[in-house]
Amino acid sequence: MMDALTLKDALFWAFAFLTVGFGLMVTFHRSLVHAALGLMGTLLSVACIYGLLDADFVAVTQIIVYVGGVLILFLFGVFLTRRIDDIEVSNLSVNWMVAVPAGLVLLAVILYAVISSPLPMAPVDATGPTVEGIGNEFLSRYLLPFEVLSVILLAVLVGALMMARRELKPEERD
Amino acid sequence: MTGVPLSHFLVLAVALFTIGAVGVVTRRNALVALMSLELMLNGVNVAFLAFARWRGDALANAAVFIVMAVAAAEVAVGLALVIALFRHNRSVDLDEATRMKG
Repeated sequence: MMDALTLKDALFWAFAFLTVGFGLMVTFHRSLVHAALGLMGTLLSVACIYGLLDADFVAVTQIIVYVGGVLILFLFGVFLTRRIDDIEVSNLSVNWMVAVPAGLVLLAVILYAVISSPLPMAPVDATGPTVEGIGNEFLSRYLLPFEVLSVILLAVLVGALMMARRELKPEERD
Repeated sequence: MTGVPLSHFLVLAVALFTIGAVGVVTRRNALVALMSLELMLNGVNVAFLAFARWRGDALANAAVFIVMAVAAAEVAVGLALVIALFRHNRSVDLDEATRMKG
């Protein structure tokens, strides 16, 4: 039992450091492609953290939606918009002398809130797979948010196509 | 049962959120700003799931699912905007996107 606990501790620390390290790479690396790769590392590490939190369904969704979908979209965006000759143009950080202290203040404030609030000590016993619970929530009490979500996705599908398409010149129109 | 206390997960969530927030305000490239926004959303999701684990309810899992769907939608629209911006300005520099300034 102790071995299992320490293994989980070690896994938590490893994935926490990976998450923060890759996150810093996203924020502070000058190359766009490296930032995208850092994002991939962060998303995968966060998926592992989800696994440690026994959120099996969300962990798999994270990998499918984020790593499989969002990240590919980002890579497409990177390769569609950057100019080949100046890879690192327009990716310089500005006003970081203000932003980093402000971020540290934000960190301190939220950490103070976390530390000073009473937190439950022990988690509840493991409840097994979460898929059933999520399905029950979505198909009973929270059916309306679920359906609104599908409308949002449809609107986004149409809206993204509208915005990203090339505008046709008048002579190209039928 | 996990031996890591809840506060550790919350600190990780706060760290991720702060890194993302700093990235959003420091980066001039619209793509990196969007990526940092994803970091912030992931930080929030970690906090959600940590509380879900300690309270043992499925609602937070459902909330995280909704956050993910909205985040994916936001990225699709955001990248479409970035492509449109690039087509107009030949650059995705947020400091150069001043067309709507009065």
